[in-house]
Amino acid sequence: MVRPPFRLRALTRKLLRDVWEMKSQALAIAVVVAAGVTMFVTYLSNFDSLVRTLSQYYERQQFADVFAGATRAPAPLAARIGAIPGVVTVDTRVVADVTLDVTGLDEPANARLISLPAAGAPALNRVLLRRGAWPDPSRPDDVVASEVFCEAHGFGPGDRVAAVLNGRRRELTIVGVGISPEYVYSIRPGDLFPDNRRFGVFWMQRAALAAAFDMEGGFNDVSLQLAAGASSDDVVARLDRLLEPYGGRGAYTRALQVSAWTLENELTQLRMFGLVTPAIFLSVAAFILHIALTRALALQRGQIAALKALGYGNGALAWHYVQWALVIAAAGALAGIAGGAWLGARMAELYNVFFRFPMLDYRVSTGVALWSLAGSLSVAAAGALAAVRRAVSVPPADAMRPDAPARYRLSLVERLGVARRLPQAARMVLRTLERQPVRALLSMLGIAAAGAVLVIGLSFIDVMDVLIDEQFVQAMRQDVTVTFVGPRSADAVQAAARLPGVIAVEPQRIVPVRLRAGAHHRTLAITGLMPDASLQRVVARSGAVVTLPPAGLVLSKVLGEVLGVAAGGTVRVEVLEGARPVFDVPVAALVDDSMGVQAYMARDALHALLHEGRTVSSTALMVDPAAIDRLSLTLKALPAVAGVAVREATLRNFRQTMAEHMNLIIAFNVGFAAIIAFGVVYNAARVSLSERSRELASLRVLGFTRDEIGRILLGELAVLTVLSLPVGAVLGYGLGRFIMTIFNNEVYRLPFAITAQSIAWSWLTVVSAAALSSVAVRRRLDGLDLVAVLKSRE
Amino acid sequence: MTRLRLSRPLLAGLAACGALVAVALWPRAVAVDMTTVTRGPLTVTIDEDGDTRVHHRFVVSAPLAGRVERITLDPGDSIAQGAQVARLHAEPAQFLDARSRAEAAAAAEAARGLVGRARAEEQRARAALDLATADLARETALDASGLTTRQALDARRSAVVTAREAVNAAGFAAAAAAADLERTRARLLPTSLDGGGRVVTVTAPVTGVVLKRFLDSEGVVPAGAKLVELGDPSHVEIVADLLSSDAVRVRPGMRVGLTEWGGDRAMGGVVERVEPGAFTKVSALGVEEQRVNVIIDVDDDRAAWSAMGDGFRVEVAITIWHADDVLTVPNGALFRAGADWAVFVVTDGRARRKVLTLGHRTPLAAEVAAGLDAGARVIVHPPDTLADGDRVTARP
Amino acid sequence: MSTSSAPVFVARDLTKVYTMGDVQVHALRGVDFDLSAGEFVVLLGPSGSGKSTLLNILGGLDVPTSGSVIYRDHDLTAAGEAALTEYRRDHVGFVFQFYNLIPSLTARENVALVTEIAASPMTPEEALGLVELGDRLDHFPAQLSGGEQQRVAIARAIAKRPEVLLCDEPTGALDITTGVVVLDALTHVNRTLGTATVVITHNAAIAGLADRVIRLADGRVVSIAHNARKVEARSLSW
Repeated sequence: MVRPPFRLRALTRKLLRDVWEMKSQALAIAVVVAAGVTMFVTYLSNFDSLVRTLSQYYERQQFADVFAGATRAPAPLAARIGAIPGVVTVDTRVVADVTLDVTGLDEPANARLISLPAAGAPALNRVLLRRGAWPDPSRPDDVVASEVFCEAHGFGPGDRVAAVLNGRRRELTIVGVGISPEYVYSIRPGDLFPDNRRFGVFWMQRAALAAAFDMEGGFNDVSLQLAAGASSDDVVARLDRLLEPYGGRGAYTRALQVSAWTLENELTQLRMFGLVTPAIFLSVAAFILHIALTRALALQRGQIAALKALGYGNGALAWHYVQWALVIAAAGALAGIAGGAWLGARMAELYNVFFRFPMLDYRVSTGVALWSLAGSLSVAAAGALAAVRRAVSVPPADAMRPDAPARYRLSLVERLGVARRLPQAARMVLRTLERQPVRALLSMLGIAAAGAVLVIGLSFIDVMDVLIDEQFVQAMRQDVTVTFVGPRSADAVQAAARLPGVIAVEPQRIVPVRLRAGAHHRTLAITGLMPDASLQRVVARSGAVVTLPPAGLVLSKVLGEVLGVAAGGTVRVEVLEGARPVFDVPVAALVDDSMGVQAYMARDALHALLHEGRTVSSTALMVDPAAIDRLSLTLKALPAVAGVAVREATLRNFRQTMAEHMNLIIAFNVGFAAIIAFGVVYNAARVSLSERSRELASLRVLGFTRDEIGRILLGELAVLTVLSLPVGAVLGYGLGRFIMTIFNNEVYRLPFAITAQSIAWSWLTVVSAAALSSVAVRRRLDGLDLVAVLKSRE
Repeated sequence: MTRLRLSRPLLAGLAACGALVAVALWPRAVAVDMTTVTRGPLTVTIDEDGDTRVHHRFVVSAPLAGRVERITLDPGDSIAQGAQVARLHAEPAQFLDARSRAEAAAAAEAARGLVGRARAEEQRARAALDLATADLARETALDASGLTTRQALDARRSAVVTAREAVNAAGFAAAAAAADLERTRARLLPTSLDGGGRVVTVTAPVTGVVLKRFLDSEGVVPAGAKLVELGDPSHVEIVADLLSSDAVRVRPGMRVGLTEWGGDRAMGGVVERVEPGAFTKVSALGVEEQRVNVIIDVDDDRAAWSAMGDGFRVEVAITIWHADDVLTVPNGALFRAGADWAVFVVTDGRARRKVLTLGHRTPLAAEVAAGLDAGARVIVHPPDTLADGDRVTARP
Repeated sequence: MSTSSAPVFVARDLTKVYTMGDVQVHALRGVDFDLSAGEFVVLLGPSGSGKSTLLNILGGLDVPTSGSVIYRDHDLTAAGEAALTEYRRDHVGFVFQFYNLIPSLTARENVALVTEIAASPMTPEEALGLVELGDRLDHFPAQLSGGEQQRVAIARAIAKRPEVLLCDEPTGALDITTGVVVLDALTHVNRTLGTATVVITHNAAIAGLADRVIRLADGRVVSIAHNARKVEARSLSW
C-alpha cells in the first residue's frame, strides 16, 4: 500500500487497510447504502425542487386562492365581491369551453377559452408568454395557446385552429404560446388522464370572447386573492351567496383546483416514497453491515486483545471499529448522492411531460445531501454499535484465548428422526443453521426484503393491467362517448343513433350538483344511467358490476366516507343548473370503485326528481370500427356536440404514457432489488466462509472435493434463499397493500394486484442474484490455502 | 455412485429454476366475459318518435262573416252529427252612415266632374287634330308648288301625329273617368240582396268529440275562420316521421310496437300508409334530413288506449324484419378483422378468431349467416390486447 | 534504570476460575508472586499450569477471581476498566507467543501504535533498532519471519519504556536459532533499560537466563529458585 504523504495515525492506517482487505464485502454493503441514498436523493430533491419552483411560480404569476364559476353575473358584482372581508384582489373573467377542429385530428378536440383583459396583464392567474406576442386588440380572433397543446401538435405563432364558439365556427389564430399556474397540469374536465392533443387552453381578448358568448357587461368566472390569515371557508360561503342568483356553480379554494390538487398529491407521494424506500434499503444495509462487522471483529479478536494490551481503551477501540462502518456508509452515501443527483434530474425531465413549469429548477439541496449522509452514517453506526461494543468489551485475556469449538447440536430435523437418509453435507448445513438461528433468520429476512422490493415494483405492472381492464374493458365498453352542449331532449338519442357507423346508443343524463350531508359537501355531477346499461357500467374494484337500483343514489365509497353517509342515509342534493331545486335523496348503496368521486342514479329516477322528460346530456355509442373516422368527421361539424371521447384513442394514450413511466421504474426496481439480494447473500457467504475456513480446509485435507465443501458452504445459503422466497412474497404483498392503501385518495384508489407470473419473476431475480454471489464466493473457496489455514491458531 | 449423489441437489435446483421460468413465462389466462351463441328470434325495427293524431278531423269554420256567439262547447265534449256547434249572426250590408254617404256622394260628384273634363279634353284634342290635318293639307299643296321647305312639311306631319295621339289619350282618360264614376256610384248601392240580421247555426258535420276550440269568446269573424275542430278520438292514428332511407324499407302491414306513451305496457299497431312525399327537417343535433311521414294504426286493446288524446307522444318501433329462429350473436362480441366482422370463439380454453358473415342487425345483436354454430361460446367485449390463441378464462 | 529492589509487583493468594465452553477451569489456586525492579524472572511449568493466567493478571488483562495484586502502590484488583487500560498503556509491555502483530500495519506502524499513545516513548525507529530490525521498518508482518515478527513485538512492547515486560512463551513458536535471537533481545533490553521482565516458558533451558525461576504446576507455585549466575542467551540450546 502506498504510504500516504501526510502523517496518519497508525490506527487510522490500520482502519483503511482493514477496510480495503474486505473490499468486496464493503463494496456490496456500500452499494446497498448507495441504492437507498439514491432513492432518497432522487425523490426528495425532486420534492424540494418542485416545492420551490411551485411557490415561486404561484407567487410571481399571482395564482388565485379562491375560484368560482357562474352562468352570468353582472360586472358591478365584482365590487361587492371585493368587499367580502379577507379578499384582497378580485379578477373577473369570461371563460368558455369550446370544441376545436384541429387539422390532423379526426375527432373534435376541446379547448377552454379564458379572457384576457383589454389592457395590461390580468390581476390574477397571469399567463407567462413563452413565444410570440399578445393578441392585437384590433384582431379579435387572435389567441395565446397553451404550450403543451402547441407542442403536441407542432403549432406555433401563425398557425390557425378552427373553433366553434357558441354555435359559430371561427378561425382562431395563435399569436403566442403561453403557460399559466392554473394549468400546470392540463386536463380536460371529466377526463382521467391528460391528453394534450385533445385539450388545450386558449387565452383570448375579453371583448371578443364576451361578444361571442353574450357576456358583455358581465362575467362568468371569478378568482380571488385572499389576505393572509383570511378564512377561506367564510369567503367561499359569502361568494357562493353572492353568485347564487347568477347561476353560481360553487366556489372552491386553491386546494381543490385540479392542477394545484394534482401537484399537491404528487408532492405527497414523492415525500412518502422518498422516506419509505430508503428506509428499507438502509435497514438491510445496517443488517448486512452488522453481520459482516461481527465476523470481521471475531477475526480481529487477537488484534483487539493486543491493542488492549498495548493500552488502548474500550472507547478508543470502539470508535476505531465503528469508523469501519462509517467509512463504508460514507462511501455508499457519496455515491448515492451522485447517483441520486443524476437520476433525479432524469425524473425531473419526466415531470416536464405532465407538469409544465416555466423552468424546473432542479437542484440537490445541501439539506437533502446532508440528511442522506447523516442518515446513512447513523444507520451504519447503529448497525455496528452492538457488534462493536460486544467485541470490544471482551476481557483481553478471553480474547487471547482460542475460541472454544462452536457448540453444535443435532438439528431439529434429525431429532425428529426424519433425516436418516440425508447426506452428511445436508446434516452439516442444517446444524449450522440451527446454531445461530437469529442470524440465519435475519439473513433470510434480508433476502426476503429483496424479494419484497421486487414484488412491490413488479406489482405496478399488474395493477396497471387490472386498472386498464377495469376501466376500459369492464366499465367503459362504448366505443365513443358524445357529450352535448347542454341537456337535449330525447330526440337527440334517436338522432345520435342515425349518425354514421352507430350500432347502439345508450343515453346518459349528467347533472351538476352539490351533495351536502351535515357539515360536509362536495361539488360533482350525478350520472343518470339506464339500469340495464351494457355499455357504460358501474364497476366496483372487486370486479362486480353494480346494477343501479330503481331509486336512490349510488355513491363512491370514498364519497360516502367524506360526507359521512352510508347506505340507507340521506344526502341533500343542490342542483346547480336550471331552476336549482334542492332535494333530500336517499343513498341506496355505496360502491367501492377505483376512480374519482362518482354519484349514480337510475335515469328514470333522476328524471322524476328533476320533473323533466327524458333529457339527455351525453350518449355512449357502440360504433362500427370501420366507420369511426367518418363518425368523427361528422361529429366535428355538429355544433350541438361539446366533446367526443374515443375509447381506443384514450386507451392508447394512457398505455403510452404509462409505458414511459413504467419502464424506468421497473428497471430501477429490479436493479435495486438485485443489489439487495446480492449484497445480503454475498456477505452472508463471505462471513460463513471466513468462520468455517478452517473446518472446510480440514475437510479438504481429509479428502473432500471442492464441490463437496462448496455444497456445505453454499447449501446453507441455498436453504436461506429458498426459505426467503415465500417470505419475501408475503412481505411484498403485505407492504404493497399497505402502500396502496396509503395512496388511496379521492382521485384514485388503485387495487393492489400481483400475478403468479410476477412472483415467479421476482423469485427468479432473487435466485439469480444469490446464484451470482455464490459463484463469486465459490471462486474464493477454490483459493482456500489449506496449509495456511491449518497453521492458523483459530 | 458418489457422482450421482453429488449432482442431485444441483439438478433439483436447476429443475426448480426451470419450473420458475415456466411459471414466469407461462401465458396467463385472461379473464373475459363469455356468452353462448343461441338460436332465437331476432327482430329488426326502425325506432322513431311519433305523435298521435285523431284520424278523421273536421275543422268547423264560419260560413260567412258575422258575429259568433260564445261557443259553449269545451274540448272533450261529445257532439252528435247535426248538433249545433255555434250561432252566427250574419252582419248586414255595410249600410253607410250619414257621413260616409255624404262622402260617397261627394266622391260621385267629383267623378262626374272628372268625366266632364275628360270629355271636354277629348273634344279639344279632336279640334286640335282637325287643325293640324288642315295645316298639313295646305303645306302639302304649297310643297307641290315648291313654295315651302321640306322642314316645314315634316313639322306639319309630326304635328298631326301628335294631335292624333292626344286624341287617343283623351279618349282613354274619358273612359277611365267614366269607369271611376261607376265605381263611386257602386259604393252607394247596397251590397247584398238579402239585407242583414240573419242568424246562421253552424252544425257539426259528424258525430265526434271536440278536439280543439279556436274561439273562446264571442267575436266577429271573417268568413272561413276556424271555430272548432272535431274528431273521433277512438280512431287515433300515429304519425311518425322517418328518414327517407328508413321509410323505403317500410311497407303497409308491418307490425309496430308502441311504447313510452305513459301506459303500463307496450301497444301493438300496424303500418297503414307510407306517404310518398318527403320534407326537410333539422334533427335535434342540427343535421338536415329528408323525412317521410308514416301513418300507423293502433290495433290493440282500445280500452287500454283510451286515455290517449291528440298530439300525444309515442315511441314507435316498426318491425321491418323478424325471424323466429336464427343464430344470433351479441353486438358486444363483434369486432372488425380487416373488412370483415369476427368474434373470438372459446375452444379448449383458448380464444380463436372466427370471421363471420352477418345478416340482419339490431342494436343488441346480429344475425349470424355463416361462420358460427349454435352453442359456441364467444367472448363479449374482448380486451384490445387479446390475440388469436390466447388462453382465456370466464370472469367469475 | 532503577536498580533498587523496591517491589514492582506484590501478588497474594491469587485464584482464577474461568469457563470455557461447557467446562470450568481452575487456572490458579492460591498463588503468591513478587517482582523487584530490574529483575528477570522465568515462570516454568507445563501447559495448563496457570502461567499465562498469572501473567495476564499481572498485566491487567485479566481479573483474579480472588486475591490481590499491587503494582507499586496501585491495587489492580480494585481498578476499573479505564484504570487498567491506563496502567497497561503507561507501565506494562507485553510479548505474546503468537506475536499478535497487526497484520495490516508495517513493523514501524505497529510500533507507532504504541508510541502515539505513550507518555514518553522512544521513536519507533529507536525501538526497532534495539531489536536489530532497523532495516525492516516498512515490511508487513506477512513479509517477516517468525523471529523477526517476535522482535517487532518486543520493540512494540518496549517502545513506551515500560517498567515491566511480560512475555508469554516468546519463543514457543520459533526454532532454536531464532528463539535464541529473541531471547537475546529480551535480556539485552532487561539489562539496558532495567525493565523488570517476566518470561513464561515450558522450556527449562531458558531458565538459565533468569534471576529467579518460579515453577508452577496445576495452578500452584511449586518451587522458587535463584540463579547465582545467569547464562547468555546465545549460549542456550534446546
